[in-house]
Amino acid sequence: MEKAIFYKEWIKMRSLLPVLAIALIGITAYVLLRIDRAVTLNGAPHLWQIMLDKEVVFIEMLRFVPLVAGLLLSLTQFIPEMLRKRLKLTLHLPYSQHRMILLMAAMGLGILTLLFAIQALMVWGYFHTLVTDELTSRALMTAMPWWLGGLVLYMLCAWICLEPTRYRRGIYIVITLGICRMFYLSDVPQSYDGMLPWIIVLLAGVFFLPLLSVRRFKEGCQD
Amino acid sequence: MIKIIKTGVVVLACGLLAWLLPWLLAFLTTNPVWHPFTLYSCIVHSFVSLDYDENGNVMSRDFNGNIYNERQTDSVMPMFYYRQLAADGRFPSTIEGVAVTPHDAERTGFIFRTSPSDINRPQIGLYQLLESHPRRLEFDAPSDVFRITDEGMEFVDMASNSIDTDKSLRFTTALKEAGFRFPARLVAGNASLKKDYDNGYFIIDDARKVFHLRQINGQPRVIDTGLPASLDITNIFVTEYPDRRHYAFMTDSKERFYALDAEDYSLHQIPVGRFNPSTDAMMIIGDIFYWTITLQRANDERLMAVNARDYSLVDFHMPRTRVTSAERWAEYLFPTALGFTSSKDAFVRPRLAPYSLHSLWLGGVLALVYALIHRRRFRTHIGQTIGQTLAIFALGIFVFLPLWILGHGK
Repeated sequence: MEKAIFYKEWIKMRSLLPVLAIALIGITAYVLLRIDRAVTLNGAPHLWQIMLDKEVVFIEMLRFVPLVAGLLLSLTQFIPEMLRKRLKLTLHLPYSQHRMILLMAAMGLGILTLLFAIQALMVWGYFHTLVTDELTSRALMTAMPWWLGGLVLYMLCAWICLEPTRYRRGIYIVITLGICRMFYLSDVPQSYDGMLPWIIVLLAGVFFLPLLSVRRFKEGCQD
Repeated sequence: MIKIIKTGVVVLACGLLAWLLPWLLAFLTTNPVWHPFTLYSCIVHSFVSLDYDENGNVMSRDFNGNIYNERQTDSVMPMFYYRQLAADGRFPSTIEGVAVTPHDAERTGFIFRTSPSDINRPQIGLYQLLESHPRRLEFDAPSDVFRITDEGMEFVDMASNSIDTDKSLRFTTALKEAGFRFPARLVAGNASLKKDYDNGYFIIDDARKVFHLRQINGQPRVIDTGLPASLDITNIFVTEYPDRRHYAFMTDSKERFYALDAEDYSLHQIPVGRFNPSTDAMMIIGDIFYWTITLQRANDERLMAVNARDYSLVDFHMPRTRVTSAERWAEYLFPTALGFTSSKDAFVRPRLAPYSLHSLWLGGVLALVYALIHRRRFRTHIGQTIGQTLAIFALGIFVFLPLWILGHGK
């Protein structure tokens, strides 16, 4: 049954995934190329100087990319479930409903994690040849809340999509906007280091939120 | 499971409200606070604050009640407005019996500023050491950075991203020969190229001894400052002011503030009271005669004048700190406030304000309203409803709103 669930999710995502992968890798490559261009024109020491003096990591352009990726993937995966109440069919399958919804979400989270890992690898691969480990890890740790933010938004978006009533959906959107704001409170590199454990706890918590929407759907809540 | 998730959603919404409602109140009600520019006058020997009269003209008043117009203000603060006085030909030839020139005023004037957010920010432990005796007047940007490890000092060449072993060995040996014990507890310096001269770095070793490191003609120059380890210096601010009188300002673990003399590394305690750079902000506007020191602490602000010649306290003023209306309202409306950022540091992490008992009245009213609305549920879900009512009493609007909005049947 797991295979069938994963196949169903694959059918929904297969047209978006290549686009998403190309976009994520392309944007990351573009950011790194820009850095490389700056190095060619001004030399590596200039890059070091700016990283040390101005508190920048040169990958700031990536900050909203994971958020958009999480949003798009979640919409692609969960909106079809709510069109003509197809979720009803899914829930009638002879399989634990909670497990099924969590598997669907886990697949999306897994794919996003893979895409973000490729991004991280590209950043690490370029930076570690150019600057010291301290500056490389500074860049990666600065981007960490952006990636986690993408995963959190993916789950929150699934929660919103599966919610059957407009009233609650509106409230969930307000909550989601508040949570998203939390990931962009500071531009200082590595300022989120102390926040990362809390974000991981939040991610673990929001992973289960779609179950609430599904329960409400099953209870017949509707506009 | 679903019960836990529902509770989780209420907790999440409660957290967001505890963050956003106090922020919104502060955002909507914050008014600008007027902090007049104040200096100690070496002419009238009192603090003088700049202000504007009804017509918008610059004026000032000293703390003895005398009022000065703009022209007189220049004259009572000659070491600050020396350029205007010199241009008008009004710069005094002597002050307190000491012959002075506008050049003296320019050479000895400095402004020192530090705030907690300068101290409490992510550090990566890479520093740039300038050449203290540059070939030309201006400094060349260094081609390497250094870090201090458990074993020694390591220079990394920026162009090749590789360790310069020769230079690392030279500096490590020089430090060890001076008695330095690795690793370093604190590394303080100013790598800016926009300065007149370079004082290098002050480094505290593992035995809490303070060393002075400079690079002269590419070679290390290490001096043990001789400051006793028992002082336990916690912060060092390297000063590179035109008069070259001091090497640095320092604080110790007992929150005392010092100036380090550039002549003989002697330490002079500045009588400002307790000063902790991690929590307090300080500004010094100094000249050859007096330093006007503004110390902002969590709950108070102090204005002090210190005689620059013998470091004695000559005047002290403590302006009354006022609680803003937003803060007062918040105390009565919200039991606490959740924040993620602070003006005291550059970190993002959850921070909860102390619980305000003043807000219990609102919690009580909201709990009563909630209990009345859900009075029938007391019969069917007595435990749950009592728990929710108590939570509203304790956490007020933060719990009331989520329970009301996400309540049963919605």
